[in-house]
Amino acid sequence: MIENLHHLLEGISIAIQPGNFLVAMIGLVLGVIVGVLPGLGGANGVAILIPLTVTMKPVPGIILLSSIYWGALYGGSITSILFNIPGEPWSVATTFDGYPLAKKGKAGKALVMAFLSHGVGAVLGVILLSFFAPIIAEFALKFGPAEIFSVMMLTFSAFVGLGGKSPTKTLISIFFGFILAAVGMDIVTGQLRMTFGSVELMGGFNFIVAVIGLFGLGEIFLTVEEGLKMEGISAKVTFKDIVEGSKELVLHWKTLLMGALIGCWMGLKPGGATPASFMAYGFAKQAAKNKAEFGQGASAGIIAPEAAAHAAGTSATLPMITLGIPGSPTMAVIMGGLMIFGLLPGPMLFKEHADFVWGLIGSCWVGNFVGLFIVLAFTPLFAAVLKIRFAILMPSIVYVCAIGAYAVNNRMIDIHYMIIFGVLGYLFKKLDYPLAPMVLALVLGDMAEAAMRQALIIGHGSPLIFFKPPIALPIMIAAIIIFFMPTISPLFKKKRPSVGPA
Amino acid sequence: MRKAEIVVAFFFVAIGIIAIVDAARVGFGWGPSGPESGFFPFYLGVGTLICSAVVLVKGFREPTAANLAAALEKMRRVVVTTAGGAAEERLRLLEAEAGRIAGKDRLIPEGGLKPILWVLLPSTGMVILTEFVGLHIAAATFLAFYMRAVGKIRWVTIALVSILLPVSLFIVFDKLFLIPLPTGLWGSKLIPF
Repeated sequence: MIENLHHLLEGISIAIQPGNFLVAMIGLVLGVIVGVLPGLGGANGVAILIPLTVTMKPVPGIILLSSIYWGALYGGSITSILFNIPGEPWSVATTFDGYPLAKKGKAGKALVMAFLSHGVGAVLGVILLSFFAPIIAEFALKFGPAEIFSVMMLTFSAFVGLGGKSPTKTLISIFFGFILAAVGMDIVTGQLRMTFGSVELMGGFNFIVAVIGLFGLGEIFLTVEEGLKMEGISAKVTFKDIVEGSKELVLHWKTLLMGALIGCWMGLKPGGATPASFMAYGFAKQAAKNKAEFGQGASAGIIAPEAAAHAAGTSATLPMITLGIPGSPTMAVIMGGLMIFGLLPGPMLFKEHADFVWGLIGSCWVGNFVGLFIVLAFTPLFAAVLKIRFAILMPSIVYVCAIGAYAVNNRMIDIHYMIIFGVLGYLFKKLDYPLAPMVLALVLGDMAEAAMRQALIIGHGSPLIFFKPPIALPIMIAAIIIFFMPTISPLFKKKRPSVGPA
Repeated sequence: MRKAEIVVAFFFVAIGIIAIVDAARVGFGWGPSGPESGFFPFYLGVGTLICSAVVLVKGFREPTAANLAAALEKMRRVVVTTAGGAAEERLRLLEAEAGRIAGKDRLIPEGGLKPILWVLLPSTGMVILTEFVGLHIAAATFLAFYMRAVGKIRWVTIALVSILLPVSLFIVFDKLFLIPLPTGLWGSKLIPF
């Protein structure tokens, strides 16, 4: 513990070196803008900027990428409160009470509460990260191929069982992602798969291009189809707002803590931030004395989902750096960035590149604190970004997306893929196929396949190797239980009615 | 929605078949060095096939708009003959509501296709143009075109944005970070620095 604290202080001191600090500031500002703009979320913003980080050293590079992520998390709350447009799926719950409160003329107070809850959620998430990451990494060092594969099974079955979408469609998404990942050269035997003699297909599909297309262009198609209505409430954050907002936070400290804890817990599972925010909102409403206030601008209705979303966003870093398994598309993209630096996320990262890992954790602390001050001070400026005419924003975003897609591998075909992925993303969203599991499958495809094949070789072809005690077995059992969650949980509800939150 | 659901499910059926056929080509059994190349893709293909078949069956079972209308008409006749004219007025309201819901159920809501094509086609145009004149010039053209045709924005603003943005991105990417962006066939001659 003491040793970890020492590492942590070292990491923070790396993060506040002038050069790294400047990079973090730039990343945060870019991140907030990216979070505010439609069609550019956290995942996308990071994906587009990955090429820029290639020329940087690993530590400032990863600080830039993760700062964009923290910034985007903050940016999401600005749009949901002032414009009633959730910039990210986990900000949806914030619009329920954030926008009504802003409409009542208390936009500043609403924003302050959102930002501060974000801050508290993040701190809890970072504490979890700082103290549990080394322990989990130490444990994960014992993992062989079978264990790695079972952890991946757990990840994907969490999408099926807890994702809330149709299980069949989630499975299709996962399979499709894995199939796309398999296109190109087989890393074990060197054979070409599904290339049909085409040189272009030999290079396979890069998931960053997929992310830019699915989340960038797809989102733009959805936005123009609905006909963008930007009725923003202009807001300034005054000192009085800060005082009032902080008071509300102290008053609702239980809600705040509960939200943050739900976030930390849910964030460890893939795709956790969105359900965490809704869960926290539900619990806050359940616990409130005055339920009628919810939906009209209740403070607790802002505090709970915001704290949960940001805590989940932060604790999602944990499985990524300790196990090499990202919990969200944004984390997947950040992990892609690590791999470009030649760093393989996973337990070995802690041993081999300790300075890097602790620099990253340190920058989580610094980035979240500095981010809080940036958004408190400059909210009007960020909100003004949305006042730019959509006809100017939209083609500019497409342009930037095209640059990002091309620069990943310097391949022209990737820009074509980006457009195709854009159309796919639109169709997926419309027909309720989840995107996140597909992206994760595309990222983890090679790793999952290699782990499975190695494990089978070790087990002489017997699939029983995946159920080997003491580590793989419980993980596999958990995966199976979670997978069948949608089938199991109704049975429970019938037996014990009216228990648990609605 | 029903049609789109079925079409997309067929797309996944095709993907599944491709994966299986290709896996059969490279072999999906147990080779000298463990599982062969097609091992993983084969099971992925099988999984995709099974799941997309489920979606397909569900899609076909959903009533079509024509079926729905016929059922409503039948119901209307029964109700009108038993309850008389007073019920007819209310039924008409109900039908209007049903029609509204059916309209909402379309994949692309009414009037939604046009703006999508207005984004999709010019973007595709930009990509094709990039093959010839390079990304920055193609994007400048795309920016100017979209701002004028869709946004009806003042020429001054158009000129400013479609010149300043590409120039600044050119400086950041091509010059500062030394990431060469596509120049196309003639781009290097058009921007000779």
